Amino acid sequence: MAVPNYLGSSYRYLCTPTGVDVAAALTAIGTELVASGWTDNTGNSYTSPVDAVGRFITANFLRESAQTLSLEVFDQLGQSLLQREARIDVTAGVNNLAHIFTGQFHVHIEFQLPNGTGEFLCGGILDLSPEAQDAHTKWAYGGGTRANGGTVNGDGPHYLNMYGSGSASNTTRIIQYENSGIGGALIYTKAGNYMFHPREVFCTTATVTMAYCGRTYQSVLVTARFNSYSKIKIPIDGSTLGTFLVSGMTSRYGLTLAIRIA
Amino acid sequence: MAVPDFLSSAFRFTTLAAVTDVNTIIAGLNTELVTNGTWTDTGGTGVGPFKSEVGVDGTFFTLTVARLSATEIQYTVNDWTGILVYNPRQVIDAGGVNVIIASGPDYVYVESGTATPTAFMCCRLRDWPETPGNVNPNFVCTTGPLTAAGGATNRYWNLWYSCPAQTRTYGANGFIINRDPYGVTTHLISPSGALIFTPFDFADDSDFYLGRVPQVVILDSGLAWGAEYTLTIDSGVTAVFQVCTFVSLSSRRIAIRKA
Repeated sequence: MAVPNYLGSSYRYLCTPTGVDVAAALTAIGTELVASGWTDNTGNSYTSPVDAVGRFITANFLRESAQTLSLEVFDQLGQSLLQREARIDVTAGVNNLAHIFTGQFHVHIEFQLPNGTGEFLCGGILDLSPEAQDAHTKWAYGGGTRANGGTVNGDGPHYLNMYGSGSASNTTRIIQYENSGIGGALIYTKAGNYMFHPREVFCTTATVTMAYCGRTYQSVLVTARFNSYSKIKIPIDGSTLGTFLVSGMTSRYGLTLAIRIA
Repeated sequence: MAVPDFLSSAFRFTTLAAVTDVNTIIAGLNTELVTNGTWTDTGGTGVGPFKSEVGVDGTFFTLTVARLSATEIQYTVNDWTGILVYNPRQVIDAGGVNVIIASGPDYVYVESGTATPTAFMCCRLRDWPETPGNVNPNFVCTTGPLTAAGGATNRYWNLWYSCPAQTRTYGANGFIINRDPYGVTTHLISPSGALIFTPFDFADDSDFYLGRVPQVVILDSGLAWGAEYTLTIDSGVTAVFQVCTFVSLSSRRIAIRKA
């Protein structure tokens, strides 16, 4: 087989300490986004590369405080996909890590807190294949651990913000991969290989409840049995291994997110 | 991207009109599997047992068909070591029904167009395509409308499977993979209006993946039995599938390759 389209886009990864202030991460995020081809609009606003069918998003980051970084993603029509927040531990003397994943179609920022958990912000464009990439307009997403104001209501691989039928919302949008007979996620092939699954995203439109919209680029769902922040190698076709970092977000359906780093 | 592996094999599709005796099905299987396909009639008399194409790893399965009466047929599926996978039955109406035979090198689907259509299916499951060095055994599976004794099975989205390397038994159940989040029914429809498909994937009675059925897809709920749909299976590549009588979780439809 060939490398799936959703794993064929560009990607970069940087892990950097951000101490007890998100400011250091904010600087690194800008550097990484520009290196991934995004345009620096100044003021911590970045626009993704325009793809072959004209799609792009704009990501506005904001240092709310030393503890809190927010991200508001806008689609190409300028529609907000809601402002989300992620927080770090600002206890004096601790250190937080910032995992910065970027590419032409995605940005995912994840703070690894000293207690081993993670808080994240994300935005991106979905892979619509095998449909044409301009087959529909529900391809922009955002997300993050917390709502604007700090309420934790988006912690998990299943939460994403999209602009559905009339407004943007934060809700469960991904499918599970459950054994219908016993419940629980599929984890292994009979030969003993760990399985991974594309993160397939659904959105309610004016005519269809929870329509299939596409797949997030450079991220997959893997068993939550992996330790957070493990680096795992995944066969992305018959002969190619990709390296992914397991997220520290809360798992769902026995699955968590892993994002491409190499 | 590329055409998915499970949709890449050869396929055939034919309809036998107004079948009143299952001998017509047996003759049709011989025509489709042996004359027009790559199977072998190991009995040499046109009535089987039929042996599927031998895979590159030497595995295959056999299909033995028996006419129990003019309106009832029994299919016996054995894996390449001879182990019985299962032997379900199927009936037709004495007044005559249309029968669909869809087949390929390693699968057979027979649909009886009774008032409530029924289907028999057997195949060698395709491996998870991303599998690296370790490769799944080639599970042989089958499902049908009636048990070996003639009772209703209700196993259209379960199945029997066998793998000598694993269990050396038959009768183990496989289960379809549920792709709905808890409490939410998703739709396999794009915002563009296009139908989206997923593979017909199966797991065992634990958290292990068995494989996927060749040339069969799961489509959204509510599609009419017998309807044809043209799906995009790769960028710029389309294929025609016909909705078959199997019904999956969340009332999703299962469709088999026609063209």
